[in-house]
Amino acid sequence: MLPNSVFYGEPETWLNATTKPNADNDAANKIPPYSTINSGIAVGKLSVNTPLDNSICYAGIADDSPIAQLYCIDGADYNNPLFDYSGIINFLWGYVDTTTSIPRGYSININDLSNESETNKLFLVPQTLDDYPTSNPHRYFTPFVSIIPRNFVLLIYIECDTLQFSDRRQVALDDYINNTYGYSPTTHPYITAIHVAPVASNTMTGQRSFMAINDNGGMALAYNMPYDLPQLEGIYDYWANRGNVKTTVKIWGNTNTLYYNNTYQYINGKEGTFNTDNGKLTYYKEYGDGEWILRCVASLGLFFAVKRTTAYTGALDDTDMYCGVIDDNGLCHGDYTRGTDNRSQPQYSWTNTNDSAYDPTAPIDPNTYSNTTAFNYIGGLSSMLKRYVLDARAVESLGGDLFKIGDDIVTGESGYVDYDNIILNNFLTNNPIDAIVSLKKYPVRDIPHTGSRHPLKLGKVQIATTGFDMPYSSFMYLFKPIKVFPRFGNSFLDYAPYTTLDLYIPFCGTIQLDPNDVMGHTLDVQLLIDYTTGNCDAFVSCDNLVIETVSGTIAIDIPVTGTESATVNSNLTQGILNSKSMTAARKIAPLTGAMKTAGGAVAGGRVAGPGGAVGGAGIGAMSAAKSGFDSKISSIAADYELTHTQAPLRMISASSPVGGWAIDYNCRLIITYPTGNVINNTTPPDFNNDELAKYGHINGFATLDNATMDKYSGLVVADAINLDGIAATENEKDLIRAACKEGCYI
Amino acid sequence: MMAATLYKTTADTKSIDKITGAEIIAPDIEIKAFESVSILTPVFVLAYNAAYLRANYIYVSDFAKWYYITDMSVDTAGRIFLRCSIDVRQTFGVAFIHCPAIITRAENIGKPTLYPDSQLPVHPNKKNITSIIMPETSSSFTGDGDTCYLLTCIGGEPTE
Repeated sequence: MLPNSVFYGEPETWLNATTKPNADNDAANKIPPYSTINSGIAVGKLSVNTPLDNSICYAGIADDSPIAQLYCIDGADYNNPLFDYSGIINFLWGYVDTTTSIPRGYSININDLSNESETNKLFLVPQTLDDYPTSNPHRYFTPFVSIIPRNFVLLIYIECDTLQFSDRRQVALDDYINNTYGYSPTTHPYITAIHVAPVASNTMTGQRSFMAINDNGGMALAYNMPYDLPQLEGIYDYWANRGNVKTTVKIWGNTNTLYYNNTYQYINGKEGTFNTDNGKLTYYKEYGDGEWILRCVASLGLFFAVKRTTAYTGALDDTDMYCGVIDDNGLCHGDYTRGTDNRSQPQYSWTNTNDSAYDPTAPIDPNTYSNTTAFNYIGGLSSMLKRYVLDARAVESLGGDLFKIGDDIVTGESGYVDYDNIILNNFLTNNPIDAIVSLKKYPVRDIPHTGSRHPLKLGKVQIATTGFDMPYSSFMYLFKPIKVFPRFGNSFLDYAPYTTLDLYIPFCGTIQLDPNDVMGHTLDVQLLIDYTTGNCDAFVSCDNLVIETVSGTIAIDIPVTGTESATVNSNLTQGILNSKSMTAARKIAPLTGAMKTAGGAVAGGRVAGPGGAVGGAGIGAMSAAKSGFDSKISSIAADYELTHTQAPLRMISASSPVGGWAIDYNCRLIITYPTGNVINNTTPPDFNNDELAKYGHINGFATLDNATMDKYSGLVVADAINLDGIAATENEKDLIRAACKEGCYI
Repeated sequence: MMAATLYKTTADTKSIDKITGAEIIAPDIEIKAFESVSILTPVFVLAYNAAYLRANYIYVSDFAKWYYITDMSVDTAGRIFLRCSIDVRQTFGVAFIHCPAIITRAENIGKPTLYPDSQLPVHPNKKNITSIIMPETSSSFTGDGDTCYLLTCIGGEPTE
């Protein structure tokens, strides 16, 4: 946003932040002409406890940033630090100088990267500040009213200490990593503070160097601190570094070693740990991989470097140049880009920080936006399922094996039914066809599988058919991404309704895509096959963000038929029982018949004398013989039933159509695009032809620009124009407006 | 009496510079206003000269304005009547092209832009169609694969 000119003066009046000879006014970071600053109460003076104006802040520090938290340590009760997570919505870079010598000298040897002595630093220009009320703690703070990202690169310094907290050192992170001075992650693994040193320049081609701030400098809050913490009211400088080394600004950690008797010290940063060894209170965090340090610095929303040479001379898209990511709300969370990825950040194209659209007073969108969709690994689907990959020969073999279930059960040693074998091995639902959930064919050359071919085990029964284990419940197949390239120069013709896009996805059908969403972006399709159900889901992504999902069926169900052995077993069991029963009956039938014969004789004698006795005996004998015969027949029938039980069949699933297999197995983006006199019907369309030029000369090309007509040439049409300053009558101005609407050749 | 210069210009009406390349028919001639004239659509009278009849454009120094000659008439007294209409493009163009405006069309953009252009001659219905193939990267899909059957069972040792 544009700085408040009442407070900071008009941009034309801003001063270069250095006095370097041959400074390029367009390349120099700027400070305001302090004598014109108006706090709103008195021109040229800052009022006590009046915040600085907030219109020059380019970004805020989000409350989830690793440097957002502020601890307040009461030395008398250090175990209970107060803290606040409010985030920093508005901060300023600047410096404080009370020496008032104006201007400061400047010298630099651009060929000597190692020389960081005082004389080789880039000095800022302090201003006379004598008129400011001494009770205002911010009276000497001179903010940068405009910062050029290319000329304000942050170099990282750290304070480190040993495991015993016995040797605290400050060193450039580059030197720490490379153990230049004997302080390294090995010897000094604890980080007790993180600093940044602005490395600046005031030409777009010159080498950057350190800014030297004689007294204090750093960052300040431009608003009343939201914290309800002691002793902070009216204090605006937050991270100012009090006359310390190399004008670095501490952004994480405590300023100095804290002793128990100190009251109300402040520590900035998250994720650290307190240590109370040696009578001191130290806030620290282990260096680890150092990633967290980069995230702390990234929270400032500027370009930064670990390597000294990169900070001095590196381009903004240098491999070792980092850039803090600023989200759509203008807030920094600690994310960063590196190298050529920096080009996608808005800071890369800022002329200066005033190009930022950040408004600290604007409501904050609470949503977190993401441009990618994460895919989850689907695993751990523990189930009772077992999957085998079969080839066509194995499927044929399986068909036969499923009918062999009854073949082995009539194999007793004596040629009779082996009842025990039946009962033990086949009685309790040991039914292979019941164990089959599905048999599906997939249009896949080789279904992913592991191990070597081995016999299948269906439930309890191992059959002769062999196959491979298939350990995956699903598998993702990728299609080659394409960039949806605008064929008409990225004009309106490339978008709806002139151009339409349809995406054919094998097994899922065709979906319509909105050209407004995907034109100029990378389109990506991933097909997830669910190897349990035979369904598939296609995920259509635009620049890694899933924008469409569509489902389909990919597998063909193969009907499986086999012996229904449970019923077979039931029948067999019943048959066995019948057979046993009939066999027993057959054995006792003659005895029963004899008893019946004797009974008949008794009955006959009693009824009809001797003749009756004979007659009775004969009837009884015949009855006995018939009974024995019946028993024999029943026993044979039972055995017959036992050995000739008809095996019932069971079928798994039904066949399914193969229509989805008949079309292309690749995705295909179908593009319909317009034709016309000025668009030659070629592929790709010829978009630079004479007819188009003639059209442009007569009609102009549509645009919408808030500009002056002289920015263009040829035919220019302006729908509205402000004629302030034109010495014409009102009727003439009406004619001018009409002429502009009709168009002017310029 | 007023001073004026007659031109013959072939420039398009919309041009803000109709003089470059224009033919000067008569420089610094004397003209009179015909009765009371408007500065927007004045009528001027000048002495007859056959060459003047070729003019279609006039600069009137006293008004410091440029006019189209929209009609001419000659009377029997040997006078030419020039009916004129002010050309605000030529008169004020140099100034108003620096005024802030909302530009809606421009020639030097050179090609259609993202802004819909209803004037561009595009067929309302006729379209061309083409497609871009996105091959499956592992060439896994086929209708006649070998190990392409999957048997799912219950029991035994589960897969996962």
